[in-house]
Amino acid sequence: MTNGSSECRPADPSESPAEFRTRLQLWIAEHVNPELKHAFDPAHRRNMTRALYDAGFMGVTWPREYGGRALPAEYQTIVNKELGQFSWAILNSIVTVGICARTLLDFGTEKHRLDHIPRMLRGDESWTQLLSEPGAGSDLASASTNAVLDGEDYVLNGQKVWTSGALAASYAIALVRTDPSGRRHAGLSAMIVDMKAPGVDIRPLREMTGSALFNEIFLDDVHTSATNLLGPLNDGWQVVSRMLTHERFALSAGTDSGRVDHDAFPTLLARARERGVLADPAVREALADVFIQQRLLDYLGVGIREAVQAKFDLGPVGSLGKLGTARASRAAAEAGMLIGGMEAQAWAAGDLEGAEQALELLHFPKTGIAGGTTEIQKNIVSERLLGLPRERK
Amino acid sequence: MTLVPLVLSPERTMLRDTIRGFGSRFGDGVSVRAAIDSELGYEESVWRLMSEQLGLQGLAVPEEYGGSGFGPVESFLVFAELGRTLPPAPYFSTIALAASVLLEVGDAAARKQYLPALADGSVRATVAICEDSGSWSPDAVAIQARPDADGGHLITGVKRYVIDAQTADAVVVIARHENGVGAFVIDADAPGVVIEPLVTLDLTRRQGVIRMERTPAQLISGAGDATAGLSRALDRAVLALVAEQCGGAEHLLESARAYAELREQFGRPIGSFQAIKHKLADMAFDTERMWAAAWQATRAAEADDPDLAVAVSLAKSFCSEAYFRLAAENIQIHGGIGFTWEHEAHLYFRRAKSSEVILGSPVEHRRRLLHELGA
Repeated sequence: MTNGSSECRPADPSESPAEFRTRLQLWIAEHVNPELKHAFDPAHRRNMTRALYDAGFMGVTWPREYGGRALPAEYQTIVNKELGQFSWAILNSIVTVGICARTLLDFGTEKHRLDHIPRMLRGDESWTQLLSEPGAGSDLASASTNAVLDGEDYVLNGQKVWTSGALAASYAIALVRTDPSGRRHAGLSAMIVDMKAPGVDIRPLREMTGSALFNEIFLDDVHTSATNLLGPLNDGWQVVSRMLTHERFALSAGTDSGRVDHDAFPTLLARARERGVLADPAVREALADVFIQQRLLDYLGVGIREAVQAKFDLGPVGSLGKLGTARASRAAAEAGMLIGGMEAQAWAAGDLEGAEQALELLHFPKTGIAGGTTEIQKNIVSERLLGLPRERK
Repeated sequence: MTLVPLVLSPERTMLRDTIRGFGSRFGDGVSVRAAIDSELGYEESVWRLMSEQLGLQGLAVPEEYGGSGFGPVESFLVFAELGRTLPPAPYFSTIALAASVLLEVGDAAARKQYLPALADGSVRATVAICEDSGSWSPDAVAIQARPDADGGHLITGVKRYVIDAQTADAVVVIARHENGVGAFVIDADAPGVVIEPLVTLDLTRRQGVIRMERTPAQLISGAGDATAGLSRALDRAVLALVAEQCGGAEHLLESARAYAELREQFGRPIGSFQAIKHKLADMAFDTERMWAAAWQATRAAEADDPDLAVAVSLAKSFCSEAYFRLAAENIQIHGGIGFTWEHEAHLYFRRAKSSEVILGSPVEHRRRLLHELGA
């Protein structure tokens, strides 16, 4: 079953939030085995995501015609909370759903939406973004990957970087230059690219964590149909701008992206108890800070979701959430190292649990950089939300 | 308006806007300064206007006692507006403190006796709980109320940091009796009472010491230990306090933002310099999270959420520290002029630091938070 139609949905459309929560809790108890945490791979996560979708728990706030259940924001909040401890068991759908599907909803044709969104919600398609380049990091408008019209196709040439999940991706939304005479924002377009197309050369980038979450992408005469243009020709900046706004919402407030909130507090509390340091005042302060930062992120997310649903025109408030994610992530990482002491900085080979705190530490810097750096977010907050004058060129 | 707006019904929006109007009118610079320098610390005519024209004192008092019967959400909206401009009035003490205690632990007779007078503004009241330690916890209360010959009680002891002690007509004194901690009411001019004004960091909220020597006191919380109810009452007061902090925060953000846009140096508005922009972004970040924390705690109160204590302590801990950061940064962005006596910035700076520790410090609230979470 690939189109995610309502026949796949055993859920009762009229179930109350309480009934929904209970059903989800039972489903998790039945299908998710915490002991498999360290053994889970992307294929397992995909299957779990599909099963959750088929049981009516994914994409719940999305329109029915695109494979959603058109439920109020409250239901997504419930999903985020209940799946919070099990983010290891499902696909991270921030990019696919929270960013790309949202962008298709804004700028895609009806065919784009019907072809892709239900599959994206279910986990049948993974998407990524082709935005940054070696010479265009924070300054995306200086992108130079070009796309030339050749008959009914665009032909892409260039290099992208910091692309997450590229190897697993089916499609990408790419920022390309379609008018070479246009400077900066003028002459940019957004288009859908098939990541399995000939000419797409993916090279993993090894990060400080040791893994390769991000990649370099070399595009060598990559063809994409002209019908894959997203938004107006040579006015792709508005598409990418909106996509970036979705990115900040999704990375932080998790509006309806299927993102689940990773709550570090219970794990850290348990670890502090195990190590016998729970009475240490510094540890207690650190734990309280972790709890508070995580809850603040939750609360901000709830507020944003409700305001969005009440049709307030918010502007890029996701940037506030993004600042919060970086803050919460660092707090959790440092608390973990404080609790772990010497044990957290050296462990026996093969001890995956022993490695966990160090890995959290090595990951946190990306939360202030990926998806737009903290400094860029502060520029956005101050210029676009508070109305302060932009930097002179 | 906050960057992430609250979703309010038309009625609640109207309430907020009405109180905002009141706050602008009576919390303007001239009124606030005049009150600071005055004997009473506020204008009687304004206090009367609050009750007669706006029904503010009676807002959250149940209708059976002459109030309007509104809940935590309406209270939040009102206190947020009052925190925005600091209009002088013994409102926090009478309503957030005294009325809360009466509602949570007062027996039927006491509620009937006192609440109508608080609700119509005819009686100003406050709560006396802190002693030498400065703790706001019922557990730290040591002074004793001894039974007297006529079935009442007599209290001897010293209460400190009593908000609006100097102007209260009635004081709810928290003291120990035979069965635990209880709430008692004394008349401010009862025998044996001596009230000494304190000099306060916060110029907009007065505090005094209340010394009692065999002062007649009426037990209002019944025969048993009232600790649990008192905790709930204090949590109500905390919600009012964080609401004030939220309103103040929003005001400070706007004040700093407007100044950064207006003030030019080196040929351009200082708000075009990234350092200032980033400070303002940090202020906005803090302000939004304060509102998020306080609002969610308020909704938990409205829903009788069993985890309310966690939400309240989280809000107090975070909002208090964020508010002071905001107040300090507001001065920083204003530069020299922000450091002057005449500028309003220090009034908020003082209010922020003082309210940080009233009703429990952030450290104490984080302690309670962890305790409630079973840590």
